Amino acid sequence: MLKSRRLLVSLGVLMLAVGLGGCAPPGVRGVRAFEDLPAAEGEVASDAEFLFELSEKKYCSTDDAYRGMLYLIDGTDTSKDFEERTARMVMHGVADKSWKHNPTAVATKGKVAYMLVRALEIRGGVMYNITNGCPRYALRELIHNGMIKGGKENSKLSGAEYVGILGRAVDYREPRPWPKM
Amino acid sequence: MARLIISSGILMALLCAPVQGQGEPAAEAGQDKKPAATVATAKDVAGQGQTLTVSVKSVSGSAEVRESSDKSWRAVKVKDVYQEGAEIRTGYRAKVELTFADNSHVIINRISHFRVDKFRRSGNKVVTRSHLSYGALQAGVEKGPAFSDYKITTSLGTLGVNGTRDIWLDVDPGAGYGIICLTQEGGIDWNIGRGSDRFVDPGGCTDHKGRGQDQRKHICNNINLVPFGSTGTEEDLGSIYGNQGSNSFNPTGSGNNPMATNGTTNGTNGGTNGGTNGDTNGWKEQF
Repeated sequence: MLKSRRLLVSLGVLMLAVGLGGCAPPGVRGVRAFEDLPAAEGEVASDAEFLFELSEKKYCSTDDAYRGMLYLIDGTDTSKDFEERTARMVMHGVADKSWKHNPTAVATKGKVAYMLVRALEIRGGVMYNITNGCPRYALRELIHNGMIKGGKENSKLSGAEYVGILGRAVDYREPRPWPKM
Repeated sequence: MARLIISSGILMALLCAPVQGQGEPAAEAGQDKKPAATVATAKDVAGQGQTLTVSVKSVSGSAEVRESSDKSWRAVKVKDVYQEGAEIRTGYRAKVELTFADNSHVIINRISHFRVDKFRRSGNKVVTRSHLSYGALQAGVEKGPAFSDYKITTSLGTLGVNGTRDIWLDVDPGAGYGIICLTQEGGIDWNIGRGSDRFVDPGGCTDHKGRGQDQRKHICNNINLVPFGSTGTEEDLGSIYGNQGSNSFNPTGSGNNPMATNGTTNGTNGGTNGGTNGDTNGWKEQF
């Protein structure tokens, strides 16, 4: 009786581990140093220009989402193309290697939350941590702290929404003290 | 006990399964562009007074300006002088401090787009209309000899900020969200359209839905707000909003107040401006 109970307990724990492990493949937490990849040559468009144009787009593409995230992490985006941008994102541990990485697909709030939580090294709550950082719980975490203003995991992200989110992400990373005017 | 563990294991596995298989949305990211925002050029307001200038006091990070919507963008430089129609956009870690000719200040913070729609003097009145498309700014409308009719338009309505110092404004049109805080003196009438106003007193914060304390806790926790006390009643608010021109701030709202009805006037004008800008930009109607 005792043996079968132990077996059942082990089985339960195993299923739990499989379930959680399948939620998000293990990746590098936090952000690694940018120096690991060579910088691209050529002129780099300004982040102000990128953000201004993004704010006028109906939808934020995956390419835009990666670009915005790299500006946040590295302060610049010197990638020549989407493939290089993706490589940088994966190298940073911000994007997941198993994703489809379709540059023209609309970015979802879940994935953007997943990337932001890693980029900003936000600890997250209990559910976020026991699910190894599911986009669903990453999104809930960012909705809770006010960085993302509602929505669901698969909600499409507009360009203007992403610009607003990036603004709050910058504030999170570098809080603005009230200036003496 | 064992059943409970097995059930919880299955539950957790099911809970996370859809996450693993989440697909990319079928729709392709559009390159849809909104119509260009209307810019009040000098031509639009010809014959309505003398145009005043705005100068750049300091700049850091990536910031670009264009003198009008038909000109190309260039880098913002210290001591640059701009007139009506000038637009400034900033990058991630940028900050541009502007000094207006009437001594009011605007600091355009990270990831913002700001435009000077109108800035001119007519007699003893200085009219300022600026627009924050997205992003964050800090502003202070200094007291001076001339009466200042100062408004900041956003996609979430118009702010009448006469005689007001140290405004902290954050606008996110994508999420239909905005928040404003006021640190030192004056008052803000935030006309969000449809007859709704949000009033902000010194030391106060509110978002566009009027949620003051909650939002302050979440978003304004990095700001050292200096509470000057509450005005208490709506009658007092008129005095606070109209105290421009006076050299001393009176938190009780009593005393000489030549512009006591200014709050109401601003509200009417603000509704018109906010509505026009909102429609032109094509942002979500949240209210």
